Amino acid sequence: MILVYAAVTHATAILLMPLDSTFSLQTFWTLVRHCAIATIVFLAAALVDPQTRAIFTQLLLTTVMLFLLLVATLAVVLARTRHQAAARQIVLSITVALMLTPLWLGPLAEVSGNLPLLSNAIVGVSPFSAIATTLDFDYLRSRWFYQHSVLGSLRYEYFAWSGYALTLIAVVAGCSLSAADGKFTRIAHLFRKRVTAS
Amino acid sequence: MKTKTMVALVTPILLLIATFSQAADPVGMNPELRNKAKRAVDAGLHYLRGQQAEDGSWSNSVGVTALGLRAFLQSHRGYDETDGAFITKPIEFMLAHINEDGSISETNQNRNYNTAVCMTALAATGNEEYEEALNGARNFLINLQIDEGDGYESEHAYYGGIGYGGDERPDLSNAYMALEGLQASATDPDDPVWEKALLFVSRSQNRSESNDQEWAGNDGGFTYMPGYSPNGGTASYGGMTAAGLLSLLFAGVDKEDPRIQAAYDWIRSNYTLEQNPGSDGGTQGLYYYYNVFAKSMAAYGADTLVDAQDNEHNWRNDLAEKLLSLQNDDGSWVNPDSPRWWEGNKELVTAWSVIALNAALK
Repeated sequence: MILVYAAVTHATAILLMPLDSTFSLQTFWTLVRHCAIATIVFLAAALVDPQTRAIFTQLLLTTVMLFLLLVATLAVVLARTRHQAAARQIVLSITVALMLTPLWLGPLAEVSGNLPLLSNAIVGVSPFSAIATTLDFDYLRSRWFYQHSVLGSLRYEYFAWSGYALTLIAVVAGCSLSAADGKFTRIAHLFRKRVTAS
Repeated sequence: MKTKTMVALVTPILLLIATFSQAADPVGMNPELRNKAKRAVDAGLHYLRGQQAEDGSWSNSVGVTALGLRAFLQSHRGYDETDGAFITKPIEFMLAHINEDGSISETNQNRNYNTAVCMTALAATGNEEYEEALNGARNFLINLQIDEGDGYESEHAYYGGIGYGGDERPDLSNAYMALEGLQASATDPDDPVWEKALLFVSRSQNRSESNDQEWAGNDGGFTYMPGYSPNGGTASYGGMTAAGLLSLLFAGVDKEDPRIQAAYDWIRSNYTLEQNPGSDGGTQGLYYYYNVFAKSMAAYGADTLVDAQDNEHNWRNDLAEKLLSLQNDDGSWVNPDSPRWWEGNKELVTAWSVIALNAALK
């Protein structure tokens, strides 16, 4: 429970950080490092005890995914300040990491005893799975993936296409609102100037 | 006095009957073990009955449902559709999942496995009403086979193979299951599907005399697919060698054919039921191995085999003893060491184990 608390505390710390122009790249990497250490310790503890492995592995996946999302969020913040090149690299790294989840998180599905929720989540978070679902192609059973990822020999289901569609709509809506937010601010500023002038 | 005389007369007769029946076991199986194996089958079937869903399915999977049904139909109890809903409902569940292309599957994944095991189960009912479903499924499997229609020439290592159904790459495990389904549903022995399959099966064997692939070794065993084994390189292993032997028999190859003899020799020399011989750690695909090993030995017609140390084994006795020792108190079986190939699923593994015992008891 202490480890869970540590992970949650770090996640909360990142969320509550003032993400304005004073936010530096150094602060960002410090937070990422702390969060990564907490996650690794959490992972090690979860794998030691077989009794609680099943529950922990599910929590772990959520933690890892939250971690990745938080880093992505921070990267977006960086892009809006003054570290656009670093932000691009971070977002690219996260995309690659997510695409390859069947490779680096596949063993977790095996160790956990092929829990359906966990296995499906590992498959589902990879953008490859979105493409595979659209094309009706079971890429995890293709020769290369079958040879390099244990998932091909486990039971799993691809998420329904509607799940990906909803996620896509949410992302697009979020980006649109974010862009609109800037416009609204400018419009409001212009409106205030006009009122003051009159 | 009268009682004593009766006992004196009856006891030798009973002993004689017991001795005679032991010697007369058609496949040389230990009678006591045979009875225990039958009880283990009953316990396994009892477990399956308890796990059956309202719609007659197991594990919400067409494939597991078909295997569960087959376990009942081929058991020493001789169940059939007149025995009740626990037999008819799984059939309805399978038939409700027939797709337009003839496949029988609830998912795009595993379409070959699901369809093939459904064919075997439907054929085991002996009910001609399912002929239409079997014809559709047969056409689906034949269309799934990789050939000129998919742009592959006979020189290609994939030619004649059958895969999961969600992609093109074939493997011996899928091919063997498909051939079992085709054989069970009385597919014409002259259909080109067999000859094409034979090419693929031969190309999965480590036997350079009959395998034109550069990587082919010469131990006579089989690998997962031409040029790849999950146990490193192109290493032969138990599950696939039994599947290869069975595939050759399904395709009509004579028992004396050197390909079959080489496979049998590999099984003999690597004989063990402690693990899936040749597999990584020995625990992966263990019950798959038991299942296909029992079916292959029964189909080959060997009651005993001699291992590399010149020890003779009655495989039926060995398999029964092994499976009895691994059965859980609730009648189920499961692979606690590896969930690969769904062996963490009790319903699937129990069905596989019962089918293996059914093959041994025949």
